[in-house]
Amino acid sequence: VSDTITIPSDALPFVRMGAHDLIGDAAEAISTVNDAVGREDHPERYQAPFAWLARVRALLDAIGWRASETAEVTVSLVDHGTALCETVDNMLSISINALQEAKASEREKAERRVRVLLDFGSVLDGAYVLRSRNDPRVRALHKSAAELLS
Amino acid sequence: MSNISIPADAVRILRNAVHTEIGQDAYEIQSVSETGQGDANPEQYAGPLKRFDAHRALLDAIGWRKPDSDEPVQIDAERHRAVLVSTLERRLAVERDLAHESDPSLKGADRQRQTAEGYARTIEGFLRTLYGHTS
Repeated sequence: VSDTITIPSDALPFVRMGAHDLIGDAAEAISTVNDAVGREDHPERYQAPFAWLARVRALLDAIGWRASETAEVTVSLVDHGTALCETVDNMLSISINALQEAKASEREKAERRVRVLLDFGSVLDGAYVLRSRNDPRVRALHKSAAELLS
Repeated sequence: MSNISIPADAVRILRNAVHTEIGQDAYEIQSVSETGQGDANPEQYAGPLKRFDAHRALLDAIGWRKPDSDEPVQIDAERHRAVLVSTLERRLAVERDLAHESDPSLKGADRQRQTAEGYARTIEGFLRTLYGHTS
């Protein structure tokens, strides 16, 4: 099993978009802790969302924050595997919803995005040993993507 | 390294203020993300992420958790001075607003005004020290 994974050039823009989306989710999770009563009595509640934000920032540092014509990028699975899986799962879920709601004129583009993410998700599954093949949520996501594309 | 001592009464107000600032930073990061243009304009994250890191570092220095009773805290003035001043200046503006805008007909308004005035005095006193402090 390799310690690194290469994000192909067709998947990279979608991974980057997914990471930009997740950074907002992580920030929202921080706001939730911040808005709750007792934030100064239980600062440990910040730990999980802070770690989440740090993971996504580190992934974006590795793959590049800016949309560009960048070719494939190789990243460390040890450092970025968790964030990469979160990002791909998140983006696949968004893309499945977009495909389900796509007008006829948008369908081809939406299908391509789901296909690219599904393909890369499968590579990630095979490469990243900590990603459970038996994770029912991921399995359901891949199943609905495959059904939509069939 | 030049240290500065934050008086106990100011530490309590400061801690609460920095927590509030972290919430604002998170809101700004989320706002950039929600534009859907983060990958086109990633520089828009720079300001809120920089402030977020600075506020976290300041809370690391003064303590995140509210203790039973606050003690004076020594922190590295060179490292934290800018974020300390900006945080306290913003909180001072809030306390002044609360002191002047509380509706006297509302229950508890007088107490709120007195608390805000007290906090404002504490912040003003410590800010004078900070303005005069050269790191």
